Amino acid sequence: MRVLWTISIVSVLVICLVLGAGPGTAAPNAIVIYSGMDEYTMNVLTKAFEPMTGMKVESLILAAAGTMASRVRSEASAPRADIFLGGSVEIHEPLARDGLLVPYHAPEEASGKIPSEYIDPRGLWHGFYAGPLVIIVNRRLYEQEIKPRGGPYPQTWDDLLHPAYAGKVAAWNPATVGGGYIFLATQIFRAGSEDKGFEWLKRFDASVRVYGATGPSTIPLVVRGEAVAGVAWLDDSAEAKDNGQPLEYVIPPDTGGEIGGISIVKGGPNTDGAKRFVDFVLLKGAQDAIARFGFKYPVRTDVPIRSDFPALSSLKFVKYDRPFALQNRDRLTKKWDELIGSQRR
Amino acid sequence: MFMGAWGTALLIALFVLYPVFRVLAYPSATDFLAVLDHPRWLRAIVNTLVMTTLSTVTACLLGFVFALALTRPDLPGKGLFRTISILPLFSPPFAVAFSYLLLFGRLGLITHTVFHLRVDILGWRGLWLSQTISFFPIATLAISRVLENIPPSIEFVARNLGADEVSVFRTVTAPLARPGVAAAMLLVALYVLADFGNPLVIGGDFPILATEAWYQIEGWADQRAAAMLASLLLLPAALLFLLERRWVGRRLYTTILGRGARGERGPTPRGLRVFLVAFCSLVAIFVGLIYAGIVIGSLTRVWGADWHPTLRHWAEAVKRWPHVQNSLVVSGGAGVMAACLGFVTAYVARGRAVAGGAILGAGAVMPAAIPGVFLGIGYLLAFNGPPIPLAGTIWILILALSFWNLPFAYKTTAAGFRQIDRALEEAASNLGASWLRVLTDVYLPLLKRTAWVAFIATFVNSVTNLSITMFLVTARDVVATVSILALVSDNRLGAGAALTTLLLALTFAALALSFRWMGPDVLVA
Repeated sequence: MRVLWTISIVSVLVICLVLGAGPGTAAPNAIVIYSGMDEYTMNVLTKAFEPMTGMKVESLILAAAGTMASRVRSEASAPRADIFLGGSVEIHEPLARDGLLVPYHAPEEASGKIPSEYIDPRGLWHGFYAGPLVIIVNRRLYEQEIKPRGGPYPQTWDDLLHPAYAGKVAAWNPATVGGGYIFLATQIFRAGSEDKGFEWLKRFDASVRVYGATGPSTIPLVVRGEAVAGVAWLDDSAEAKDNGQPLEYVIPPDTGGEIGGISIVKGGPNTDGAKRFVDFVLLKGAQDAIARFGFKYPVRTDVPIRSDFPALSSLKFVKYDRPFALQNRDRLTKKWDELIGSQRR
Repeated sequence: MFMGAWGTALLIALFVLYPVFRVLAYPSATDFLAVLDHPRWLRAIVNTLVMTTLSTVTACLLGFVFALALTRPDLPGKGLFRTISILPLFSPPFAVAFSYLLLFGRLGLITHTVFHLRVDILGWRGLWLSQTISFFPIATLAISRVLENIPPSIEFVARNLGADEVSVFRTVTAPLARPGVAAAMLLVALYVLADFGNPLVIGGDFPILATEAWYQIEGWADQRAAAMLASLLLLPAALLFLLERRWVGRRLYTTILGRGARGERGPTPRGLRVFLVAFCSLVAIFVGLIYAGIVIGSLTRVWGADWHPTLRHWAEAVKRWPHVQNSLVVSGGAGVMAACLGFVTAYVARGRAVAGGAILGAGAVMPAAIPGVFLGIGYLLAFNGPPIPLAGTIWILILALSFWNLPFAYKTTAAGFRQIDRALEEAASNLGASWLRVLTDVYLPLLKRTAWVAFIATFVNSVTNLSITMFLVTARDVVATVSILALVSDNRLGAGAALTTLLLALTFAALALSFRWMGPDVLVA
């Protein structure tokens, strides 16, 4: 009787192994997407794509693009995903470099409706939305803590240097957050040289209360009043505001930005289906949905932007040298840590 | 016996050592040297060691007091304290830390609205507090089981021989509790070492190895740096393990004698009683507040800013019911498997062949030293393709979670075995019982409850796990914690809180059912 119990343990283990041994195949006419984009937009896109092509979309949605990229990398020996979508192209580039992506040139990319900065000449990744860095503000705290001390409502990055902001800004740690590095590089390009950029960052450091270690960390800090102002992405901020969170955002001049990327995983179960999905997200309808529900700037010039966003042409982006930024990532974050990060306490 | 040992060793080699090896082999030697070049990483090493010491000591102190209280038969409010002492095991750690911020942050409900204080909870102090609360249940579980197994008759005898309460505690209770306390400290230290949920939310600028590894993945998709940083955690973990073996392993602690009655535990002295009740009540209020914070967050419009009541978050949470179902299936499977594995390993490794037993034991505790993120990647690397293509199935989740929880299951059961007189086994053997028969007919009945503790701990640990599941879930079997993370990353904290509450309610219901079945003191038995 008791022995039976033990035997059942062993059989459970054996069954596990046997069942586990079968490959986890996807349905024949389906594509698997690892998505770093928000769920709502993803659902809208899926609902449009499925009837259009007769294919089924299985997506794993986690607003953590780096984690998704790591999964793609770990699964390289037998890829489970067809599409890796979302996150800045900075995250896609290393996968491209290591040969984990399939080159593909979407017809829409040749249509002239998409500016060349969003197109990878090798066709390894495809820019499908754009989003600037913004300053987020907790209005109530601003009125209470900054205004009486003569601090300006932040319209530019330099406004955050005002002494009234000392210790009241939530920023990102460039060593741990991709956006934090884009912010760092933005300041270097804005200042015109690396030294001047770091000088600015050092002055900015006096205003910083905390360097958040993850991308989504700054918005809750500002909403809950742990900081008066902060650095964030436009799409996250606009969505939070739309959800009724007490948050305001400003797109400062000379800001930097991300190019949201989509790429096809090499050796995925359904590469042809993946190509059709890439075609799809660059179509007018999909771009419209991404702009409207995802709070992003579309890459197509013939798609209207959200009515509450300023026209992309009215925004002044800093001249962002992406190849320089990509090549010097390790050196610059280390320098930041030596000059600023490790000096804090 | 021989077969059992080899089988267990093979399983551990395959599902623990192999994935670890795959991750360790991932970064190159130069990647390891890079750490000297990064002041932030050097700081992270120091911080990790300091935090592990601080949080382990406080969590074990708290756990010991709770264990003392829970093993007293005559303490008022015991049921409440028991519930409180396991509550922190039940929710994803980031939910706890978020609630701290909500209650005690700069605009916190308590610090700001009630007391008009401006305190800074981000950083190491907040981390210390939240790790202490998060991990003291583990200490309580491990210590109280041992305290419970100290026969009251021994204390009774000591008292009869004229010892006062203090010297009874000092010379009888404390030495007998030592293996339990040591096991608890080791376990808690390993949990703190690998903890990443708390530092993620409340650590602010305070770099810790486990989170640093995760940031390298999340921020830069840099797995080599992540694997390297995570590997650095293995060294202190190995040291902890060796220390524990030196400290506990040498002595024989025999309290279940196989003869004689256990007797009733006498009344608690008044002073101790007042202290225990007061202390536990304070902690209970604190923990209660934290969970009230999560529930309030799920029922108000904007977490921490707009307190108008709403059910909108719940509507969203209920839509994610399938994810909760997946969590229950995966965690139930992992619980059964970990309990069985822990039992068999503890039996096989219980010290007959000293060297072999030590190696098996080391293998069984090793997963505790592996941060979830590390193990998640390891499983992906190891089982993605042939010879064992598990990735993409639900089994990879079950296996990863059960082996990750094996340390607790093993330590709990091993401490139980240590208290059973070998004479019982020898008697059975002499009467012709096989090793299997000894295991099932002698040890299993005596340690049934220990196995249950292992099951339940694994179950709740798996239900609330994020670090591993995040890497191993597929599009078709998303579990609730991953779903919660998706909500939190999306800044939909209210819906995240609602789903957390739902998960809490369900795991509690499951626990209540097992109470009915096993009796209410499953968790201290």
